[in-house]
Amino acid sequence: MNQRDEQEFAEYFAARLEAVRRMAYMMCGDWHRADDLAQTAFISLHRHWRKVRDKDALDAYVRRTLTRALIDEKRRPWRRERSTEALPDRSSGTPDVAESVADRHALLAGLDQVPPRQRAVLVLRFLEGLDVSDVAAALGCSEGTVKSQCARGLRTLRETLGDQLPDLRSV
Amino acid sequence: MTNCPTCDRSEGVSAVDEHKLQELFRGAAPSAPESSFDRGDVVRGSRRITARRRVTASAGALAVAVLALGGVGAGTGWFSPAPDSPSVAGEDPTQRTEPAPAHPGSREDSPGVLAQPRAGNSDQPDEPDSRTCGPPDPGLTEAARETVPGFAGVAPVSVTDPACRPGARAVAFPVHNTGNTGQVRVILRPAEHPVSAGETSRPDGSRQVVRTTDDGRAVVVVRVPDPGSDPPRGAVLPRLADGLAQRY
Repeated sequence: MNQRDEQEFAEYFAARLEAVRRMAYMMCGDWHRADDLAQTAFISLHRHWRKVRDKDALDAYVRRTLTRALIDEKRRPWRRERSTEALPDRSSGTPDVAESVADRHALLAGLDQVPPRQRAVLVLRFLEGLDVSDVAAALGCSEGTVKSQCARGLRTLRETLGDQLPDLRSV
Repeated sequence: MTNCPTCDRSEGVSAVDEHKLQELFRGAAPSAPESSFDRGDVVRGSRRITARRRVTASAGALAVAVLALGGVGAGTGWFSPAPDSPSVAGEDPTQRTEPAPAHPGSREDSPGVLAQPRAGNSDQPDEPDSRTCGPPDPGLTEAARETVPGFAGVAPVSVTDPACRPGARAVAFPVHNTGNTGQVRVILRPAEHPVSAGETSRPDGSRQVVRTTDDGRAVVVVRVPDPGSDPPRGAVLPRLADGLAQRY
């Protein structure tokens, strides 16, 4: 890459690093693994920077690379996550903060029970705010598949969490 | 924020529900800890992969060219012996000798077979994991700590690893995160025991990154999980190997 490309990449990297890492974390539930995935996505983007003509599509490229890296990784048996019986400890503190932290832990624990592809759909839909067609493009599947995966993922979340998250129960 | 004009009940969520879910997910995304990589790591990783693919492509092109040349040569009789050549026509098959195998010490290990003993190779241990590199090397310990400051507060331990070779310098650091424990081992092998640069993972969760120095030595960085544990952090390995390879 020439100096101008490197500069553009540096600006994009600085602007999107935290958001990409957070998306990866929500997809896998582990910061170290999330950093591996995010780094993989950024390396791929750097390698193909000059080929990505439409700079408005950079986010889509990173999401697609990240999601595929996650799903490829989950296919390796030694990297599969194990379910746990107990949910994480609840935080102490003011009621509002404690409730917020407890909700966060509950949702993350519930997401751990959702299969990787369905979890990716939920994160792209509700964290990244993508519509169905954009999620389908990111995952390389049909819109119908996205809808069915989303419905199954939400059902798994509701079944796992029971009444722990009233907001989720009501949707 | 993208509204969802295509949302419908087949997705299990309505437009109103979608808004609630977005609030829920965004509230659940915690603030991120400090990143374990920076743009320099990304650029180095990108260049490394690009260089590796160029070498692979060049090697492939060379192999195709050699095969094509061999095919043409065989077809046109370039390599056929002269009919009266005594060295072939009069050769006793029992006197034919095969080329001697290369000395084991000069054989280059590929990154994927470092941990697997080779039968009949005296350079290999009798038992996997039975090789020891001796006590932690102070210089390598310091270099590793300067490359990855997180090792500064970790006591170094001696290394027992199949990658150990006579003359190698090594250090290991116990690591743990999110309940997973293991070791990060750093081994600097002399040039007479070369290893191909690359990255490999093994089914037990071990991950190995190899880099070569300018003078032909090999920096082998291995992350090994303790028995019964998932692998601890892995993102540090390429950074550590790259940093040490540049330093040495």
